[in-house]
Amino acid sequence: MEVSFIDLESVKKTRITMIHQLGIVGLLLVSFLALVVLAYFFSNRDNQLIWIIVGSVLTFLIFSSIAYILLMHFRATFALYRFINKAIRSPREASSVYVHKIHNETETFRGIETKALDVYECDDKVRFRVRYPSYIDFQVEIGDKLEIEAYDGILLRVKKL
Amino acid sequence: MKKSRFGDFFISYGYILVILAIVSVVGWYWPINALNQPKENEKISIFIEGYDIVDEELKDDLASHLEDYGVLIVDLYVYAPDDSLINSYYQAFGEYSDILFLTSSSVEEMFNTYPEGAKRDWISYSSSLVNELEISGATYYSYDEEAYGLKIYSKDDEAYNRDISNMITFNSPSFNEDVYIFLRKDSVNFGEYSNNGLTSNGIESLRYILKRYGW
Repeated sequence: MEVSFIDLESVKKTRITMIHQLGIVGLLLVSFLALVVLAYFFSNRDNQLIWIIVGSVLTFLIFSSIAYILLMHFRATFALYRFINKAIRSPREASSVYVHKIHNETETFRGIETKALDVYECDDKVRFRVRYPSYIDFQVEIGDKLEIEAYDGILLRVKKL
Repeated sequence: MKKSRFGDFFISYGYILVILAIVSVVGWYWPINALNQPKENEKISIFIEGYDIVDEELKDDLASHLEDYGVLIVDLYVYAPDDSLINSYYQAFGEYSDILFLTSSSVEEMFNTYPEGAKRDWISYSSSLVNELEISGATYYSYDEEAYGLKIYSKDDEAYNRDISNMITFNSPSFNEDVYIFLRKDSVNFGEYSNNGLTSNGIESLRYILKRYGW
């Protein structure tokens, strides 16, 4: 089994994801502007209370959604995109390791949502932790021998030996 | 996964949601209110140097009368002429009022201090205006042969005053002066007599008041 986490394909996928996220934010902003324009042309003294209530609620929902997308999705995607761009250009070294411990919980590492593996090198038994993006689904078991390439503590490629 | 993301969002950024809620309400309330505020041509403001309001119904009756003319608000500002803050009240309310009832000492100070400005600020009572007001027998405050103030209260001639004491008390034990009605030329409510007249509601208001008190 060989899994490549970081390659040109993942750059493209991440960029498309970011564009989709920004597109949704853009649509939400456009809908807010449309709401403002409608209020400007259609509000009057008789219906101004309705416009205040409806406008406030919709504005809250729109900007809460924008905040959610930017803070919970776009920020992580952008961090991943930046990492991928750096990692792709960096020189890599392969190491042979054994899997010592598998962590199932996700944690944010360098702005990216990751899962962790504790491994130890085959040659000198040095133990260290590596991480991989949590959206990647790959199966390993404790004791598996892997050939890994990593950058800044995050796996770029894994091959089961 | 989605559920915990929403949960994480609310826990980590709940303060943003609170701020957004407040900003949303304020952000809609203030502009919508401002957008639908009565415009200058939908309001009539009257500033009076006087003491007690005798006719409590005047403001509401005038507002009802002017409803058909598109007036939404009638404001009445009444302040004692010998109040130490009268100048501040004038700056806050009088300078933007359409019709002003001013004592002779206020008028003299105005025309003596800055006569060119005073002549520019006030509408003169031409014969056409007096005809529109449907009054006769009035005397005026004149400057340079132009009549700028219509005398509405005479401190010496009770008969001249007609029923104006039913509107406002203009004198006190320590203060008794003639009172004149001035019409602001910058107002949009005096039709052809204004600098930028949009309505004649000011004339209609004054005509109503004068008729109500015996003119």
